Amino acid sequence: MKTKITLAILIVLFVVSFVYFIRINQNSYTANEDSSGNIAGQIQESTTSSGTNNNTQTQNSNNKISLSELSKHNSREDCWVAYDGKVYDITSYLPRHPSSAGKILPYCGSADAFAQAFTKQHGTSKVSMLLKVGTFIGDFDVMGNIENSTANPAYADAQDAEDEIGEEDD
Amino acid sequence: MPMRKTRRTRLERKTIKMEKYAKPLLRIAMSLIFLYFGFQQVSSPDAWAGFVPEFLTSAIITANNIVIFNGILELSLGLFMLLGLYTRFASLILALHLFGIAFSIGLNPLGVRDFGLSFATLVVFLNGPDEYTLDFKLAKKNKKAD
Repeated sequence: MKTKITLAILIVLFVVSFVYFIRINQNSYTANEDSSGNIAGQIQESTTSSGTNNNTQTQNSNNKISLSELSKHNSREDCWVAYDGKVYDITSYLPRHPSSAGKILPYCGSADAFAQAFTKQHGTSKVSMLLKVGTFIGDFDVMGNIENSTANPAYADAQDAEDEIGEEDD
Repeated sequence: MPMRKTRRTRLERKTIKMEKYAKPLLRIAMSLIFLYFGFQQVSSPDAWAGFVPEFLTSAIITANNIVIFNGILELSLGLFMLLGLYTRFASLILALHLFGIAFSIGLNPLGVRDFGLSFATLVVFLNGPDEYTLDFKLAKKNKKAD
């Protein structure tokens, strides 16, 4: 009985240390990757080196994507998401998502909703993966979204109504 | 009147000789499956995090942590089953665990496969320790010592 318990404990200890070793190795590998130029930088290099790819980081660094533009890309065939102030095209990754594309689809074309769902499900552990699988499109234009919100139909109607009242007063 | 013995074919005779390997073969094959998936979960939890139900995750316990914990469990119990240590206990836990996964996945090819595998693991539990397990060897040793 004692032998069995000892063996069982040894096996569990072996497995835990094995897993710890694997995780440490992977973390140090990721750290090395980051120190030798972050992954976003690697995407920049890869996209700028291929002349045919239009989604270059240098071009897109000036490319501001508004919420209205982002929300147009909300389908299985064209899925953009915003995370940490940057917009990524993850269309090609959708069919490869472990559970199903359906888990991401509701968040296509969204910013806050995607970021919240992503963080809730994965924490920060999959951020590097998102940067790897997503094609960088441009910066998410938060200020532009605020300005554009004044151009929404409801706001425009309200403005028209105010103008009409003003004219009547004159 | 004496019963006449039925003639067995050569293949049948050979198969009967190999019957003793059936139990260990099933046990080893099933344990290798768990070891493989356990290793996969531990080495690349990102790829498995999508399978974790949302109600299990929270701000502290991320899906990745759950996958790693699950991987450790499968590796440990898989090794137990491979070596034949606490064979019944390990196989029962793994079978129930796999039943849970199969039900959560639902009726699709993956779910049906897991359902079949969980039954195979349950058979290991019902068979108990065979003659090639540590359980059997240690019990035999203890008997001799007594």
